[in-house]
Amino acid sequence: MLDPMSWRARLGFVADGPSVDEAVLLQRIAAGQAQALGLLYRRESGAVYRFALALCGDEACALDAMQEAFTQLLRGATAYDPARGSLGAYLAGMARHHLLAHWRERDRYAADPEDRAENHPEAAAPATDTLLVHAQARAGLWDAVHRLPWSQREALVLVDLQERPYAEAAAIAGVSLDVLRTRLHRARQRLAELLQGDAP
Amino acid sequence: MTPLLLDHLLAEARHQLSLHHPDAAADADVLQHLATVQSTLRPRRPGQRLWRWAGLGLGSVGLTGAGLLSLALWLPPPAAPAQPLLAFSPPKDWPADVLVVPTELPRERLAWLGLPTDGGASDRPVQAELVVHPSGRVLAVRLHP
Repeated sequence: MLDPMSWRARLGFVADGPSVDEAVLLQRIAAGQAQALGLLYRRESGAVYRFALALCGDEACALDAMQEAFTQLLRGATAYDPARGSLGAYLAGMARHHLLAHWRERDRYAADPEDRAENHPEAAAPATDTLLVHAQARAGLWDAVHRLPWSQREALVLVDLQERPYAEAAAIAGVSLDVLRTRLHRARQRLAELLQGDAP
Repeated sequence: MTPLLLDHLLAEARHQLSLHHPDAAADADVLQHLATVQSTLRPRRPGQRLWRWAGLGLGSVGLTGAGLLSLALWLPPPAAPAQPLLAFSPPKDWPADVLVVPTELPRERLAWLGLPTDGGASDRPVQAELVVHPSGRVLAVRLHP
């Protein structure tokens, strides 16, 4: 028996990538099927949550951003354009938009850098004596990540911490590939300086 | 700090981040919120049902009129022959919740499937319906050339 996927290819649907699956899911969601919503949520929520968590370092803030991303998707499910990127990238972009709006309003990170380190789950995690050095190093790294300027932090999280393809990361950040590469290079340089204690 | 050490720290941070996920209670809260949003996105307007019945009534009157006209002219009723369904897997294996997705296909795909094509209409797409598994796998196709 022929592989069904080969028929899909012959019908010309493979060229559109995973959008077929996503398009079907979105149609079912727009039709009000809760099961489809649950399926999409289970598939995409983890990556969106971790993206937001790495940027804000706060579980509640990450949950808010993730929930807002899915809410916006629901409200404009038919507006999502698969040609512009994957659904995961679209959701990450929505979460990013929410975080930026949130921070512009509160300006929390610029005002209280100590607070963010204490609130980060890595910093709050209990460490045994044997893991103390590693835990401190991790906390130091996360603290340094959160001291990066927003644009550099975002590039570092997308590429180095989430291993997203450069093109997808650039699409989420809303910049060209060259700009993303520049930001990433500067982020790594700055991170190394912060970890060495050379930077203010 | 050497690039190698930085890479090592980033790899460790990447691993740590990958272990994070919302707990079950948080997931349930978010899903409940989303389900509420989903349900409110399809509000039933007060006049919606009235218009639906009005449409059905008008449609029935139109169909009845067309039928009577056909009888009067001694014409056979227009037959809409059902196109065969090309199944890629045995229908008995299909789940109950398959989806039927209307779409268009380039006419050249018919030739790929070994079906006859009209060369003069190669620029017009073919209307089709796909029977799709909930996972996204295409189970069958019905063409309306």
